[in-house]
Parts: sequence; C-alpha cells; structure tokens
Amino acid sequence: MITMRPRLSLCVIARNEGENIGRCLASAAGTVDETIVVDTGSVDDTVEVALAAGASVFEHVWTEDFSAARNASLERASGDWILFLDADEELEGATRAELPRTLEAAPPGVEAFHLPVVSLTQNGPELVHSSVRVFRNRPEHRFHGRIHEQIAAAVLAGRGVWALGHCGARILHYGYDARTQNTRAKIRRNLRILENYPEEDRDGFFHYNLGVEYLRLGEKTKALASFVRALPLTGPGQAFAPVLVKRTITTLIDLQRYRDALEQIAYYRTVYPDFRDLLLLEGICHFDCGRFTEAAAVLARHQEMTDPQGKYPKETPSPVLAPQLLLEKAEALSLKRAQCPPVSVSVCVIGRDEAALLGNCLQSGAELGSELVYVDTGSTDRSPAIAHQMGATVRRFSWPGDFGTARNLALDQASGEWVLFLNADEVLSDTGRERLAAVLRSARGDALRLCVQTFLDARLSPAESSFSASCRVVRKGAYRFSEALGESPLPVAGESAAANVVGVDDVEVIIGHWHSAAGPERVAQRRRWKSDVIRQRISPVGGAADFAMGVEECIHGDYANACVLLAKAGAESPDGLASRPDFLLYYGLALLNTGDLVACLDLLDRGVQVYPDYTDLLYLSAMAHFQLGASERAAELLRLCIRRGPADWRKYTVMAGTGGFKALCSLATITALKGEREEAIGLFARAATEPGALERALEGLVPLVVTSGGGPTLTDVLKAHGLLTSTGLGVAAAVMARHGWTEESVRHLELAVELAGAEAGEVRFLAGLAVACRSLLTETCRRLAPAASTDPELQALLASVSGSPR
Amino acid sequence: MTMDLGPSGRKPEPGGTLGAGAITVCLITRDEEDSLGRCLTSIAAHVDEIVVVDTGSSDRTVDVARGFGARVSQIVWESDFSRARNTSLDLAGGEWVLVLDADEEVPPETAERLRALAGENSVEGWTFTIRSPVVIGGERLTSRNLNLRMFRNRSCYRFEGRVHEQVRPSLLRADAGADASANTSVPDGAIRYSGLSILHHGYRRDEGGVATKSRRNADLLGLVLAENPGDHFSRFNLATSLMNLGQPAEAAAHFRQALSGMGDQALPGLYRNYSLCLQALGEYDQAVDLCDAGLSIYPDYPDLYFIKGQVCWELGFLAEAEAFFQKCTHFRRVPPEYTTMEEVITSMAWENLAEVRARQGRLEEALQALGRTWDAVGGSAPEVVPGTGGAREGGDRRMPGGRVLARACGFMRATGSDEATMRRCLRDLFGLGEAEAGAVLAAVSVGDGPAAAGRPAGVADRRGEAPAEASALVRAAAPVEALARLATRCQELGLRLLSLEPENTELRRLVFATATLRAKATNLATRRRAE
Repeated sequence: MITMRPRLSLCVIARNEGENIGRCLASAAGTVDETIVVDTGSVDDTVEVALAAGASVFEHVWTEDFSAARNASLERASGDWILFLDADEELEGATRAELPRTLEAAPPGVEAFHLPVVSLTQNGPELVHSSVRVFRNRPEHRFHGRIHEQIAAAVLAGRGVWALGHCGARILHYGYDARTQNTRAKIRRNLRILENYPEEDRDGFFHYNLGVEYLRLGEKTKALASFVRALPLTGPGQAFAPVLVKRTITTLIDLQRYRDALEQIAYYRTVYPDFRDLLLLEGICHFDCGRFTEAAAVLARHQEMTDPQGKYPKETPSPVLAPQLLLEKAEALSLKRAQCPPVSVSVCVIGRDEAALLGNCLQSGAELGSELVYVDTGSTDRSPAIAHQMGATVRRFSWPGDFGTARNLALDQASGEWVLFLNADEVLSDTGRERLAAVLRSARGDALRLCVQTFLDARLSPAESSFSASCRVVRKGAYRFSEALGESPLPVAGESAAANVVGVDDVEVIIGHWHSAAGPERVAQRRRWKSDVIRQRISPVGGAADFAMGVEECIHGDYANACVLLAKAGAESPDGLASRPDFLLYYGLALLNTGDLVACLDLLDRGVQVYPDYTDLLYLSAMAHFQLGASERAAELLRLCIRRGPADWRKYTVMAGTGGFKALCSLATITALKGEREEAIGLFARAATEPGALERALEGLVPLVVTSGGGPTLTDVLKAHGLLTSTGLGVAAAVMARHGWTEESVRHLELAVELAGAEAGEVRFLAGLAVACRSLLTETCRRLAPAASTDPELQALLASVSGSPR
Repeated sequence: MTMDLGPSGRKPEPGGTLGAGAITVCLITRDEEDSLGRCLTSIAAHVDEIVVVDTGSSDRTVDVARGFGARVSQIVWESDFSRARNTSLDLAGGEWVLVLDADEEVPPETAERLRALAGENSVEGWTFTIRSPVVIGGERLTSRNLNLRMFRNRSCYRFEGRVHEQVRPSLLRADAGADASANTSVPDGAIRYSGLSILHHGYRRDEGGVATKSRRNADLLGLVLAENPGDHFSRFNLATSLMNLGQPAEAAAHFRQALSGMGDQALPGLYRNYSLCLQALGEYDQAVDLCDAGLSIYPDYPDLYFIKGQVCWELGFLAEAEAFFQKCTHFRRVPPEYTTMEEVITSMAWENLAEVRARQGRLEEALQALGRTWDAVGGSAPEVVPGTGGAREGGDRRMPGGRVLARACGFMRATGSDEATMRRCLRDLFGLGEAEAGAVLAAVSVGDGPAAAGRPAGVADRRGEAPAEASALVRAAAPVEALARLATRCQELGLRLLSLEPENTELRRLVFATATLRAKATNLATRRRAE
C-alpha cells in the first residue's frame, strides 16, 4: 500500500555563494524531494555547484527586492511544503530527520513551522532564534518586504497562531565568519534598499531593520533613534517585537543610558513577564552602575528562570562576562543588606568635566550609599547626564570658587546620616568599600580619614603613586568645610572643618586618585583651576598660599619654582609651617631635584630629628648623600629605610617604595658600584617582587647580569627569584633594547613568547610583550639614527617607525 | 541617402555619407608598420571604410595603410591624442565608427558581429573588452579592461583629454542634452556592452618600450593636470603610470588625491591600483582598509580579494590569505566593467593557494592546488624539457607551467615522497607521460630548496634575504638589511603572540607595524643593492 508522504521543496536564492551553497544543498539532499535555486546574477560558480548538487536552477534579474527573488523560487516549487534556507545555512545533520517526521504528522490546520536557527561564530554555536522556514505551498503564501522579507504574516493571515507549529530540526547559520564575509558591502546594500523604501511601507519592521544596519555600522545614536521610531509602530505580538525591545535596551546600555534602559525594562517586564533576557539586562544595568546587591538579586532570578520554548530569541545580549560569571562577580562585590551599615550613607561625588572618569567613580561608590549625589560644579561635558543615568541625584552649581565650599554644597544636598566624599577622578577600592561598610556599622567618632593613593602616571602604576590621609567621611550636620583646598593632601588640621573636631578615626580604606588617567589636557585644566583657588581664596599672608602653590609645582615637576615658593613660605611662616612633615618632604624633594644638596641635607637632617619614623625623609637624605659622593652614608640610610619599611600614611604623605623597592634598588646600585655584583643582583631581585616594581628593578638587574660575562645567565637569575615569566622576560628584553643589545633582546622576547604559550590566560600579559617588541624596534631605530644623518631615505624609514600609528 | 534622425529623433545630423549601417574604422598611427598590417587584416573585410590619421611616421606606416585602401590624412603631432582622434572622426563617412589602435587586433568572432551591433537601433555606443597579454615576472598573463570603441558617427561625439582620451563623456552629455531640450527620456542602455573583445598587443613590447610609453603618458598627464588640477581621472592615470615606472611613493600621493576627489564615484580600478601601490610600499593597514572600502561598493571584484590575500600573506595571516585566494577561485567570470588580470581567478589564485597551504605544512593540499594551477595555465607535458627546473622556466614560452612542476616536485620531496610516488603524482595530477615525468624528476633532482622557500605569484619574498657578499655597496645597505631582519623576527613574534590571543587588537597592530617596517626596509635595501 502506498502512503501519501508529503513532498518537500527546498527553495534557495543565491548570488555569489559558491563557497557556501554546496554545503547548504548537501545538508538537505536526503530530506527534500526537490531543490530550487534562484540565482540573482552570480559571477562565481554558484550555478554550477547548484547544478552539480542536483538543483533546478533559475535565473532571476535582481531588482533590489528580496521578496521578489524568494517568490520567484516559490513559483517553481512543486512540493506540498516549502523549506527555505539561505545559502550560508544548512540543516543540522543530527536533527534534520525531525523535518519529514513533523510534516507527516502535521494536522490539517497547521500551515507553517518555525525552526531553531543557530549561528556558528568563532566561539562556537550561539545566537539561537526561531524562524518560520517551512510552510504549505499555496499561491497565497508569498514573501513581503524588499529586505528582511517575511512569510509569517502571509501564512498566518486570517488564521491565528494555532496555524504555526514548532519543528525540532535545527538550522545552522555560518554567516558570522567575518574572515571573507564582506560585511560592509552587505550593510551598504541593505541601507540602499532601505533608503529607497516607499514611504507607505515604512512600518515598525522597517525602522527596526534600519536600526540594525546602523548598529552594524557602529552608529549607536542613529540606531537608537530608529528603534525608538519602531517601538510604537510594533505590536507586542509581532515576531520581531521582543528582539526590537532587547536591541533598544542594549543600545541604551551601550550608550550608558542606564536609567532610560531600566525604565524600558520595567515597562516591558509587564508586557513580557516571562522574557528572561530582560532580567539579564536589568542585572547588567545595576552592575555597571555599581549597585551590586541589586544586580546579584536580579541575576540570581535570571539564572532560576527558564525561557518558554521558542517564544523569545536566545541571543545573548553581549555582556562582557557570561551571565553566570557576572552573577558571581556581583555577589562577590555585593555588600549584602545585612552587612550594610544600619545607618544611611550619602555618597557625594563632586566633579567638573570628568566625563571620562566619572562612570568609574560612581560605580565604585554606589553600592555603599543609600543615596548617590552628584554635585556638578560647572561642567560643559556629558558629566551631569552620565551621573543622572547612573542613578545619581544631580545638583548643578556654577563653580563656587573653592573646593571647601563645593563640599559644603554637596553636604547640603545629602540626606544620609553619614556622608562619603569622592572626587570624580577617584575610585573607591573594592576592599575599601567593604571595610568602610564594616567600620560605619559601629563607628563612634564623627569623621573618618581615608587613604588616598594618587597615581601620578597615566598607566596607574602603583610604583609611581603616593599615599596620604584625607578626611572623606563625616557625620552629617556636625561639620562644614572651611578650607579652600578641601581635597588637597594637606595636613589634617586643614583638611576638615572645625579645629575642634573630635573623634576622627583613620581607616585603611584606599581611594585611588587617577591623577593623569584622563590625559595631559585634563591635568593642565585641573592645575589651572587649583592655582586659581590658591591665588583667590588662600590668604597670601603667613606663607599658606606659597606653600600650597609650592606643593602644586612639585607635583607637576616644576622644582625650581617649587623651591622659590617653599623657601618663601618657610620664611614667612610664623606658625611653624616650616617644621611640618609635608613641608619637609616637598621642600626636600624640590631642593634635591634642583641640585641644592647642602641646603637639602640641612633641611632633612632637621626633619629626621623631629620625625624619625618618616622613612621618606631618610630616603631623600640618602639620595642627597649619594649625589654628594657619600655612598657609604647613603647605603647606611637606605638600609635604615628598608628596616623601617614604609612610613605611616596616617601621619605622613608617603611615596611608594621609599621603605621598599626604591630603597632596595638604590642600595643595589650603590652595591654594584662597589663591585659587589652578586649582592646587588640579589637586592634588585628582591625589589622586583614588589607590586609595580618589576620594570624599575630589572632596569638595574639586567645590565649587571648581561655584562657579568661567565656568571649565571639572566634566565637563571630570574628563575632563582621566581621572576621567570613572560612578563619578566618581556621587561628584561625592553631593558636590553634600550642598551642596544638587540640580539639578546630578540632572543629573550622569543623566549618570552614561548613561555607565554605555556602560561595560563590570566597570568600572561601579551600586550606587554607587544609593547616590548615595539620598543625594541624604536630603540634600534633610535640607535641607528645618528649614522643616518647623511641618509635622508634611511632617516625617513627610521622616523616612520617611531611615528607609526598602528 | 535618407535623412535619419536617429532612434529618438534627438540627434539633428546623421554622420554618415556611406549609407545606413556603414562602419568606418578609425586609427591614428605613428611608426606602426610592424603592427598596422595585422590590425587592418583582422578588420578590413568587415568594415566599409578605413581612416588612418598619421601623426608623422618615418617608416612605411602610410604605405601599409594605403595598401588596405585607407583614407589617409597626415597631420602634425601636437601632443594631444584627442585632437588626432577627432581628426580621424571628421573624415569618417560611415554611420558607425569603430576606433582601434594599430597594435590591436580584432578577433574573427568580434569582427563577424560588428554588422549586428550596427543594426541595433536603440544603441548609441558599444563597449568592448580589451584583452592585453602581458608578461610579468616571467608569467604570461592577460590584463583586461572595458572601453567604448564603437559609436554612432555624430559630430557631437568627440574625444576629450590629451592622453587616455575618452569619448564616453560626450555621449553621456549628448544624451543628457537631448533629454533636457527634446523632453524625451534617454533610453536605458544607450551605451551597451557588446560582450565582445579586442586583442591589444601593446604590452608585449619589450619592457623598455612600455617604460617609454609610461614616461610619455606621465609627462602628458603632468601637462593636463597643470592646466586642470581637478581632473581626477587624469590624476588616477598619472598615478598608474608612475607605478609602472617604479615610483610607488609618488604614485600613492596622486592616488590618494584622486580618491578623495572622486569620493563615492571612485572607479573600481582606482581601488585596485591604489591598493596594489600601497601593498608595494608596505602600507598594509591602508591597503586592507582600501580593499575593504572598494569591496563595500564592488563586492564582486576579485582583484580586491586577491590583493587582500597577498597582503595577508605578507602579514603572515595565512588562514585569511587562504580564504581570500579560495574566494578568487570560485569566480567564474569577472564583470566586464572591472579592470582585471584574468588569471587572478584561475592560475594565480590556485598557485597562491598552493603556496599558502605549503607554508602551513599542508603539502598534500598544496599539491592538489598546483594541479589546478597546471590545468589553468594549460600546462602541456611535451614542452617540459629537462632544464634547470628552476623558477625562471615559467617565463619560457615553450614551457607553460614549468615552474609549477618544479614546485610540485619540491613539495613532494619535502614530504619525503619516494621516486615512485612522485612519478605517479606527476602522471595523475599533471597528466605527464612516463618519459616526461622521468625527465622532470631528473631536472629537479639537484638543488631546488625546500617547499617553504616558495611564494605566491606577485608577492616578493622578503624573508631572510641576507647579503652573502661583502662589497662596499652591501656594507652601505647593511643597517637597513639588519633592520629588515630584525623586523622579520619581530613579525614572527607578533604572529606567535597573535596565535595565543587571536582577538587581541594590540597584537594585530604589532604584526602590521612590523610587517610594514620589514617591507620598507627591504624595499630600501633592494633599491640600494640595485644602484
């Protein structure tokens, strides 16, 4: 007896798909009863490949209309059912048997089936969505839309959703292999078609597609505008509606418009209560804004929820971390409500034109606060908008003239029992946040001083940082700031309002101050503002203004100016300014750097008498002695520095390494000069293990080893001290390059690369090796330059290396 | 003769005095006695009139022309190709004009179709594919472009431009003018592709001849640009001439200017030639960007994929290079409007594919690709006479594919194939007879480096070119060469780092930077050695 098995026609439209179409047709060969290929003008072997695969091939003149081409293929199909695929897709081998099974069992009322589509990316299969790909072959079932052509509407017209079934056969899509994909050409073509769309056809789907093309061009603002136009034109039941909603929200997030994104999420959670991705997006918003507890709660719900099968696209909304990892991270950073202070804390951020850094600052503080207040003192950039979007209450003031007044303005805005102040170029450390929360739970005092770590270089290297105390937490109501430089690393007394402050506690909570991270222009801008404040708001009498200005000059490396100002300040000071530790440090530093060594030693000797535990003064003193030729005395002092260790940030401004790697390196240099190579190497190696000190230590160590002739090799030495990593070797290679040991440098780089291959992902730092490699080339060119002075061609070549942008 | 107002009644005067459908072939000549005969022989029987405008031949050119019954006019050369061409048009009596160069030849299948073309009422001008055999680096290739060569004889259709003279603008203008005044729509396809080709032998001349021609063109174009600096088309042609003269740096400046001048209207050939120029200069990042920009407008232009493949090869991005050459092999034809080297979708693509696979150690697949190369060049066994087996044999006319066989043997030897296997492969993959296979094996049994020494066609191998001799010149080049070697090693490092973190853009940039330095240093060193 003959069973009437339904016949299935595969319809494909193609143009220049020679690399792909063979795979596509072969995947369906045993499953379909006929194959129709409509070629729209290929110049490659598409047609011959299709013919070889047994397809019937028809030519169709391309009219910039995908539906017309698709419908031309339908005209040729003779099966009971149509399956349509793109040439860069295939039916998955493991599941394709589902297709005939589904069709045989299809009840009469079912007109079409949707199939899961899995995109294959470089990272494996991803981006699952469902698409209507199989439908009954009827003349009224025709595609609509010149681009992103749709069949579902025609199939379901007058029938309703029960006419649509689900089939488990999966479609694999290869389109995302960007290597030979001519993405830009496709975007250009799509935009051309869209721009020529007749006005009356510009519906929600049109605007959605336009937005997608803009996204692919990286034009997020334009994309958002299109999505926003699409939303009111799109019904919640339309197949693409959830994707549109998700794209809208992810675009808002990409534009850092978190508040707007959350508003959309809240609304669409009522429309699509079972749409799981909305929770992930909500979690991402909270995480990016630093509300880790909320993020963790939402992400946990996201993990528990399951998507209704096939209802929503399964495309991940591209978080930086996988959802599970994001949840773990949020949980780790979360100050569970139980841990949070029972008191309310207002986190107040003060800033002006810090758009580049403000996001980091707010993210670091939000979790701690029951309230986030951003006080803007006259920005012309996006700062207020960023703060608003990140959940802060924004208060805008014109610049009040000094930093203390600005703080008082902020204080007025805060409603919490406690107020934490951050500047927009600062970041509260993760561990610091946790400790602060713990301290505030049981704090009895009225104010807290925290440790501000100022990073002087743009790379945020801890080796080039300094630490000082700053009063950053106060109980609301009790204090006001009276001092113009409310934030400068000045002595305690000037830091907070009342001279009769009681109960000030010091807590080891580190606030990172990203002094140079926003670039030299910002640094110069801030310096100008600060100079204005000093000139206008600090009394010139009594040396305070000169002192403040002198410190500024020191921080920015203008030591000659600093000397003049500080000398004046010291002479004018009736109240013992000249014997304060900060004065000694900065004046000593300035004198040392201007070469006034006798005066320097004179000053420091006095200082050391008064503050024997201020390691930095000992260190500066050692440097001065060394420069005067008193190496033994210098070595003695350095050994003392090492024994003492770093000075206490609660009492002094502390430069990184003076009680550690800097002292060790200096001592090593002196030791090496005495010819005690072995010992010097050991000292350098000891220094190298301190955080951020590797470069400085190897700068001294490498030449000692390389020029030793005979002794242990550099790799031996590095190995002996646990420094034999790709990073260690890379830094060593860079040092060699600077000394002109080109061959050695390349060899060690090669070794480093070999090692990097064996190291785990988190340990290795390949970009560092790239930098070393580049510096090898630039150093080599620099060394060749003198020889090329009479050779303009070679000169041009050498110049192109140092200036190469890519 | 009847008064013919043309298909849409918009052209006031008929050009022809010879009657409807008559064709006049127009040439301008100077000292072309060697080639003019070949040209006229190929066309004389298919046209109604031959017009030759001679610009001062000192040889027998005019006699040859008269021998074919041509109307000959002798004029003074005024360094202006358009003027000479237009003089020939003034003399034409046919309803249609076919414009040829003396060093061209009309293949019979084209000649036989000319009457049919002249009968197409709706067409004002026909374009033809101009195919030019060239020899580059010992390889015989065919370059190809599209040119408007046959059009109705109307006084408003005249050539423009002292050099690289063009008639198309006047046709387009005439259409547009008619459109405005007569209020009739310009029929689509008034200029159409004939699907036919014309053979151009000009590049077969010795290299000195080509250089002289490029020099002359460059000088003329310099004059044109001095008068009209905004003539982007001439600037593009000047840049191309400068490239042919071995001045890529100067060429790049003009290409850049032409590109920014043309904007969205930039010709496909500009993308092609400019990116080739950037590749030669070692400006790989710019070359890639330019190819991408070109492909976003002309996605079916294989030359751009090929150039990207070459650039990726130089960068050491072998997987990408392979994908691009593979892409080229899928092309079956190149749209006629593109200037192309016909072999980029056949033998050149396959040969490069073979080299890329060999470099990756996939010698079996490399061998397969060489088999396809062999088929594409029409390699024929009997010509493969044992010689040195070296790469230079490819240039020998008698041995198409000689180099391919040498490479194949190299690959096989590198995989450790024994004599019998090699013999079998030469028979199966390359269709050689027993004796020929033996001869080939004997020829390549001595020397011939390992497989990795190979390089794709059109790609200079810049790795490890250490100077062996210590002449004064070499010493002068030494720092440059040392720099090139250092850059090469750093590029290797970059590639190895990139293999650890393929997504790291910093590492990708390192590879670009090192490859560029290597190329520039090597270019300079090579120039120094040549001096």
